[in-house]
Amino acid sequence: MAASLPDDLIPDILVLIPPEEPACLVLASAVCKAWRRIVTDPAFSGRYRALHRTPPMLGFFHNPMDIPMEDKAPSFVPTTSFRLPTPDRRMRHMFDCHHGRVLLYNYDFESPTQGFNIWDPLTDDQHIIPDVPDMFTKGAVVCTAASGGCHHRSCSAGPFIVAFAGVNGHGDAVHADFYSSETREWSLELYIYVGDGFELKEDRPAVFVGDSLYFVGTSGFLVRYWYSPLLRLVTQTC
Amino acid sequence: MAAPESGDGNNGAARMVTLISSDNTRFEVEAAAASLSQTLQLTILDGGGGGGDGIPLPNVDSATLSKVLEYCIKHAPAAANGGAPNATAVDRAELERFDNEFVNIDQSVLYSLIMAAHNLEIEGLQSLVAKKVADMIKGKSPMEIRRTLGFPDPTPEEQAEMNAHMLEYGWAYE
Repeated sequence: MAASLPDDLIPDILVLIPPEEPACLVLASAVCKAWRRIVTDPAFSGRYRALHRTPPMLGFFHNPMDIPMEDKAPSFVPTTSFRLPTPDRRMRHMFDCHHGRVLLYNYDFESPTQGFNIWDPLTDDQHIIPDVPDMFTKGAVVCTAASGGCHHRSCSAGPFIVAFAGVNGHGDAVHADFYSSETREWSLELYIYVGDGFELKEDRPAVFVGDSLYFVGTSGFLVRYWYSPLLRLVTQTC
Repeated sequence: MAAPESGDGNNGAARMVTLISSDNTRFEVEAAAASLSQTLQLTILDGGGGGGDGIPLPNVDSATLSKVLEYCIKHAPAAANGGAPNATAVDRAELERFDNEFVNIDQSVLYSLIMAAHNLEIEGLQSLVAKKVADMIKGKSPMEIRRTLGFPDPTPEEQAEMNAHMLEYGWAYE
């Protein structure tokens, strides 16, 4: 009668732990050295992701209102028992969150990361976006791994762009630009005339659909931001 | 029911094969059911296991083999249909009910089944028993997992490692 599980069958079992409660896998990795080796093996994570497909939603971020600036921090509202390693993001405003990355603005002028940052909430890695022109009031971060063919299950260390958009002083043209993590440089700037009095709506994050980002404007306008293979801008009425 | 096989001189009836457990008990089953085992499939295709010969399975005792065959007999018709694309919802629900009942067993029997399913390479049974163990692990602390699965108590070094790991990754859960 077998009294214990053979080691080579453990991966087959652990891969079936449901992803809805990520803590289960973390707890399993603490059972013993052999299990830890299995769970931290990149081959295992690849197999796990391939099997479970759509990753679960761990929670969401929101910018609290009516709080003094020095206390402001986007809060992470968990929807599972999962918690962030370093939830404290004081004096920051969240602009966008896509594909496991968060676009933050750091208001703290004494901080070395003052300005726009890309933050990976799981690894706590930060990437400073330098020289963001004042005109850009809207930003969104998207993965650019595998030229759009990425399933976003293991791209958190991969390349990304931060797409920025903003309206000029006259309110008649939308300007757009993107910053690439690969080149660490800005793209050429594009603009499109939209008529007088146009604004991009505050506190409306860009929506990522298919291969494009959509920024929501006033008067029923959407600005379609198509960054692949080249940056293009189109306005659409909605 | 499995389709009649030719070449066994037994027209009209399903071809039968004999499997012999480690404690020398003989089990006669339809070839279609035994063929759910990838390990046995080739031998059976080659005409083995028929007549008085029997296929010896030195790693599987009679209690486990009888349980394995219970699974195979139940799943053989669906498997013969190529994963049962035209199975009705009722058929599928019945198989699911059977599977749930089937793994509602003592842990020692479950472990023997895991080994047997692995040795005999019965894919469906392998996933079924692995899922059962995964469900047993779900929502438990490392210590509870060790106890549930019958691990020996951790050595002081192992305990220290577990504590350090929990300290480092404790942020990931409440």
